[in-house]
Amino acid sequence: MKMGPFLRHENATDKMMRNLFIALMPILIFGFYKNGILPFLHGYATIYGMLYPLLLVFVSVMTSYVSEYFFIRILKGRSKEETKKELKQSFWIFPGLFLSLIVPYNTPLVLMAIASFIASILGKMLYGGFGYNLFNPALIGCLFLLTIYGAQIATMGGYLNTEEIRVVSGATPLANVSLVDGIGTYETLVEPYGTLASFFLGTIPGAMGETSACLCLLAFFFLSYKRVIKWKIPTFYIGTVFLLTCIIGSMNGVGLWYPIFQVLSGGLFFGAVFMATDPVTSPITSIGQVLYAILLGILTVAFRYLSPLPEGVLTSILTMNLFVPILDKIGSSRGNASKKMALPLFICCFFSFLLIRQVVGKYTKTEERDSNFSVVSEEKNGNQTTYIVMQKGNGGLIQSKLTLEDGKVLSFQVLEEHETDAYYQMVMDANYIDTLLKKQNQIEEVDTISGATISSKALKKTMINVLKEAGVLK
Amino acid sequence: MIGVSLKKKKEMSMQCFEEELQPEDVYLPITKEDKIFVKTGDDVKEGDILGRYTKYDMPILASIGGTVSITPDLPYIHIKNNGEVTSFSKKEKRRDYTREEMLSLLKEAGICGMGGAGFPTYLKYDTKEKVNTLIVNAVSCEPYITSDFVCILKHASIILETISILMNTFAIKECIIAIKAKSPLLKEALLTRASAYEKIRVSEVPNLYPMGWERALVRYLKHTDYKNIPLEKGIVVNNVSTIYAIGQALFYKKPLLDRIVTFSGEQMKKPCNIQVKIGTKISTILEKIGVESNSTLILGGPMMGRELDLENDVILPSTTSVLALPRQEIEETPCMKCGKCTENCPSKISPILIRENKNNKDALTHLNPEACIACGICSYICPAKIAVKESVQEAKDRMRGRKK
Repeated sequence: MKMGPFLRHENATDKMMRNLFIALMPILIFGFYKNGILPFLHGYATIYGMLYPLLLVFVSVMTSYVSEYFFIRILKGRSKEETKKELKQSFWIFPGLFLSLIVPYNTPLVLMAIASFIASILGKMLYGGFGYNLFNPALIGCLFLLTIYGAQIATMGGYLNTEEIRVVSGATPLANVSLVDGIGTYETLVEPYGTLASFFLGTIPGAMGETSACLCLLAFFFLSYKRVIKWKIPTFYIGTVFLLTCIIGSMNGVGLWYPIFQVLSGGLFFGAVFMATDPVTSPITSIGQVLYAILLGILTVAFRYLSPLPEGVLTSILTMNLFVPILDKIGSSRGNASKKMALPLFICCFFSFLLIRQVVGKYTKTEERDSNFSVVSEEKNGNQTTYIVMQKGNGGLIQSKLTLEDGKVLSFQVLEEHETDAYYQMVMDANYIDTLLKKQNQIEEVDTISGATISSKALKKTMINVLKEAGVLK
Repeated sequence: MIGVSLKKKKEMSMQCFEEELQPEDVYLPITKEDKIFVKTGDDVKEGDILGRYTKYDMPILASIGGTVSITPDLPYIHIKNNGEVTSFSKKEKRRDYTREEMLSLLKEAGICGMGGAGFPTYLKYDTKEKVNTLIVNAVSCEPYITSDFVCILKHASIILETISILMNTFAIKECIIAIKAKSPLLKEALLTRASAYEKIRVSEVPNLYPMGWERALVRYLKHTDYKNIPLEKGIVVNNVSTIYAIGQALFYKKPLLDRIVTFSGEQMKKPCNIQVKIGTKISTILEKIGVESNSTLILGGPMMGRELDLENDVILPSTTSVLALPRQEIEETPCMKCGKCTENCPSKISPILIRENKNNKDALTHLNPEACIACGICSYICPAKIAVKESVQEAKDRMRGRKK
């Protein structure tokens, strides 16, 4: 006997997805305007350069379509009609679309296609298709791209578009945090890119979809009003990051601009509104959502300060995806809400405390002399001075020999290192030492190599410390 | 406040009311365990007691006068109408009843809950606990159903007088009549008369589904929660149609023989409320009203009801409505875990997680499917059109089965 309800709410999955698509459009258009049209108008890009952002999106989305089509048609052996229907219910456009909005601008089209293929197939279809994936597909694709080709893309300009690469000549804002000792100042963190308003509007360097917090905020209101996304997740996520960086900032004596800067950079808004709220990979229960968001905030801050991954949003979301079943278990068990929340919240507070202590401790230490550096020998030979120095790297001490003449480093030779081979190789492949030598006058502004941040940073520090030793730098 | 706003569609059937239909036949459902006092060929009068239901010891009442026929193995007593009508018009003047008299009157008149569950009313009062509050449920939060509203509009005076007698008998301190907000007709009908009774007040509740759920009403009106039954907090909740039936028994010595039923829905040719005899076959009424082809016939409300069995279903005291809705094919798509079923569940359980774990008893213990009240919001709200409620009900049965 058929049971009620015989009524159905008019809201359907495809309507929700349509609204999600609508919410992404302004972001896509802005990304095209900022990275394609503006550089073209300012004479920094050719027509191809102007269309490049759209090409990225197109290649990514088409790859998603083609891979899902073939997966369903050939691997699952469905008929043409069935494939058409399954594709419609699979919402193939999203992994590709999201992915193209978060990858570095300088990703070659071939790599874009590969990443999109990984996102759709590995991130989604192999799990059983729409609704069954454990991890956010777009983030899986992006993680793959950055891990394997991150350094390569970084040498091509990374996240900087054709205009920024000539005008800004630096890293994305958050990569700057790891560049400077201590917590950073308004002059080093915000001013190179304008004001905090530029961060809010999105005229700063960064992935196509990630820079404009303003548009993400609009999308958040629209999607929450349309009940497409779980509004608690972005709210608590951004709130936690704000609160933690506020505490860290104030303990280091910087103003309110600091937490605002932290919240507005590194694609946090885009990640919080679109990625963390992906319905399939986020908790169902309200308690689960709140805990998920708070933990995301803690993880993101931890990644930003304590790991070589300056942005942290991607990694935290993928990590938290793993915990969704557990969070739902907590959220759906018997008992009243406050009892269920008590223990997890206590754990969150404990982690936050550890994190803040660690971060604050780290910076008060580095404000003094670099204790990771020591001079083994200093030898004068005419005008030239040769230093043998040790700097702590990722896998122990790196011993290098540097020769200076008239306050200029002539040669930089690594004598002994115990770095992880793959990372060190990345540093070598990027000719990082040559870069350091070439840019020794603006040494502070040289980027570390993402993916091999510690090793590259150690080399950079060696250079800085030797320059300090020689009295060239203060 | 947890609940969803539904399109009420009540105006469809509000305009039309039809008096008692005298059916040719009635079929009174029985089971093998029930005691039957009559045999095939006996002539009975309207209101005669034909036997007793073993469960709760309630009387089986002849809703029409006629000739009885009982076929072994068939689960009903059939009465063929002989046209004899008993008049229940003599008005009883008595207003003071003892507790015991009232309980036996409720029981012998066959009064039971007319809002949906059909639980005997005398049992709600037959308790050592003190009843402080009587909540009269006139919310009727499901779409289309107007039988309670029509009952109030027609019989507001009797209803109020009955409440007053019940309150005297059981020494109840206050009575709250709960009606849904924005129904000026009801409010007017009740308020103008209720002012004469100082302990009775009319309270408007939000226009949400499932606001008529006992627990939701108690939460909203008395700001308290109970474990199993509201009596734990000194509260009794009665449906307004039940109160009217009690009034009939008090003032006219007329047991529960008929009720007002809503026949509505887009596919019903003439939506209306009809006062019908208990035991009338629903298909015979539908033939008279006329139903468009290609419709889904529903017994009860569109949310909690079930598909009508044209062959067997008869009007019961708990039948609030019969609906004819356009037939629609509902196709399930994959769940994307949006969490809407959980967010909107009035019992605060997680329907989709119960569905995913419906074969895992250990997981179910924690997910508490027994708390499900079958309101159907989860299936209603689901953007993937998944029949979540059915899975939860399955899980609920499974858990109950384990306990036995």
